[in-house]
Amino acid sequence: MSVSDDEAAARRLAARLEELGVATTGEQARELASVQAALEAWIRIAAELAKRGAAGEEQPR
Amino acid sequence: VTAAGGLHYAPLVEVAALLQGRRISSVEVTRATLARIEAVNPALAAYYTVFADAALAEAARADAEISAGAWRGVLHGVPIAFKDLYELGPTTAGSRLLAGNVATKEAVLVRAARDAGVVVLGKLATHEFGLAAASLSDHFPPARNPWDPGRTPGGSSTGAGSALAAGLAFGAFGTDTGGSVRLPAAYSGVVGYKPTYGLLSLEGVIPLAPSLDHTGPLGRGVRDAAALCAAVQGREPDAGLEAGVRGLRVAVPRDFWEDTCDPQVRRLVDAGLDALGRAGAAVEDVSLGLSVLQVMAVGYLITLAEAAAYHLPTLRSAKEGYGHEFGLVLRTGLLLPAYSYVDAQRARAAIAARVDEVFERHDVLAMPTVGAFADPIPPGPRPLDRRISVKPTPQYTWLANLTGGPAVSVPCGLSEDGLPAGLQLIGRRGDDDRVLRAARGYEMVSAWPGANPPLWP
Repeated sequence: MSVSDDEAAARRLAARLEELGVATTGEQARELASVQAALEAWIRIAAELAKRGAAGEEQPR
Repeated sequence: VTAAGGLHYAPLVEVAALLQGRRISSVEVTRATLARIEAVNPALAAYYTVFADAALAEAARADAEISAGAWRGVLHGVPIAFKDLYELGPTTAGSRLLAGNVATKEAVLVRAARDAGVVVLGKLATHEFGLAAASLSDHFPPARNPWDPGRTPGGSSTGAGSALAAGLAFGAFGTDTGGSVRLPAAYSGVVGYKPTYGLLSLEGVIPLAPSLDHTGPLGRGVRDAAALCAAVQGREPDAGLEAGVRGLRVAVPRDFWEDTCDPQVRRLVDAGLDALGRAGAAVEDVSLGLSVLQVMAVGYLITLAEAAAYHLPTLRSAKEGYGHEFGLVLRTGLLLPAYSYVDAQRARAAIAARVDEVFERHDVLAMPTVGAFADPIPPGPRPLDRRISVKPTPQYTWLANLTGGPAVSVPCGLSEDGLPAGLQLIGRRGDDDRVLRAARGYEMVSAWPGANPPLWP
């Protein structure tokens, strides 16, 4: 991701928080943007485990 | 020096016996403990607030009752303390946001402890709202680890770990959403017990993530932790606590923890498992089929979403006072899509179902509490990517928050640098007595009892 991509991601996150009524500084938005990849990985992990449980598949061993 | 002057590292249950037998008074014990707090707390910052006058008055009342033959039980006249998330006098949650806040009523668990006759020494330091790691630049000074004051005692019940390890209380109550009772126990060389979800009241305790939050005791031994929990439930401690571990079926899910664990922690835990085996437990490796990253990811997604929901009105009010890391954590929670919270709760159910399968053939799970030793206290707020990471500090504690089962962290030795590690035992929901028996059984055969931080004799 380029610097400009990072900045754009940070602005998007700040805008989403603004819609929720929560003010966010530029520094905070940049730090939030820096963890989005890890957060998305967590979300994928939860989705995968949820799918296994919901499908009634054999649990991981 | 009073007769109580050398008792600061004595087990709570032994102090209780001395009080019951009127061989020592609660006023003597309380006065000696307050003097030690006054001498040591400036260096360790375990306490935010000390209720010296009130504690001495409570001690005098306990002495009068005990003298009149009205002994209430094991906590009667015993000085203990509460994490600063419990509503009790000045209540800040470790946050500048609540600086100056004074609770208008007391948490249910505080009232239960008072009914059991405790002397309340004060309020103990905490990570902000039970989550954000304390740093040297925080509004409240961070509690320090008595084994190395440059390091954290572990959180979020930081003050509880520090106070117990330094002999500044005979017991404490903390909170545990992802390990916040057991992590400070492991890092500080004391015992932390997270009971089955819902066993102890959360009413009047500032929440972090209500579906994962627990209250629980810390003590300098398993007997003390068990006694603290039983007393606030209004029951006698389990008479079979010291039955030993012969025949106990111990499952060791190495695939869950071994690859991510510090080698020194691993050696100490393996030595503890060997001791359990020599004492007659049937210790067997099992495959859990889950990684610590999976479990922590699910735990954190739930925590972030629930914490954000709780704090949203305050965030919208733009009231100043959240620390840097906690403010970011809350915003991260707000940015989560709703489906991810639902998925995380479903994943939690799947994880709990897998753990239940292991319990079909075993009594307890055994593993390290955390696969690392205490970190140095950071000079300023930690960057968010220390927490939200695909390579987090491996906290094996989250598993029992997701299942809701009881879990105990027991000290299992020291690193080459003299830092404690913890062995964690986890049971099935409602099987608290068995887990405590296992932990006490381990404690009875471990080399640990009597080890205290050399800096604070």
